[in-house]
Amino acid sequence: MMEIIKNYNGKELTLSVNGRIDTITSVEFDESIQDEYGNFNSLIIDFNDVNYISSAGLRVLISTGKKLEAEDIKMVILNVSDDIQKIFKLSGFDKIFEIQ
Amino acid sequence: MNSLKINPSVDQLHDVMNFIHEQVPNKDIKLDLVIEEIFVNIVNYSKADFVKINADYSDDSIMSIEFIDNGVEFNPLEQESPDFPDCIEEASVGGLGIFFVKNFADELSYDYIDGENHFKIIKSID
Repeated sequence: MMEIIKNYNGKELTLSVNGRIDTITSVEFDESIQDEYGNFNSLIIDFNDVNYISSAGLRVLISTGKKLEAEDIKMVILNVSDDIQKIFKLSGFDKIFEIQ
Repeated sequence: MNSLKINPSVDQLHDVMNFIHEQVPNKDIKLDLVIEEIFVNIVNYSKADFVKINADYSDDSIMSIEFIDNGVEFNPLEQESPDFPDCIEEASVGGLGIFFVKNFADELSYDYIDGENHFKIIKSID
């Protein structure tokens, strides 16, 4: 249902997420980020192959964003589909995250 | 009309989504969101013994779904909209799930009948 590929370029971590981020898979999504804390100074989350996100997945993005903001670590979300962009807009996420 | 009766457990979410996907010809991300947020809300807060889902898809691309549970009386329609943050420090996702439901469904209704919550959703499918 969901797959995450991690790729380091120096201290920049790119997480490429594939599939659906729902109440069940968001646990794995959260853990895959938490496992890497301390190893990166810049985080890119590539949503190119994400076709669904629910409020549980948004909760992971908020908790991650808060933690990284406190440590002054940059986080960018890339390649968001039109459907997911609508969800981000409705949630106000387009204003609080850097989405490219 | 088709029905699914299950235990109120998050582990059942994918069975719920599969049941819904079997009813409609096209996947609709907004329908999925409505279903997941309502189901997870029941799982987390209702203390119900069961959740029953009735689903009916009509020829004019209208999906009608009813969630029935015997948990604590709760009308999601009375939940206030969340506050929208100006910055990440203020952000939270409390209430966001039900907010999605209200935004993405075409019609919603709630009744509490004989100790059961009945939440009806009507949504046109894209």
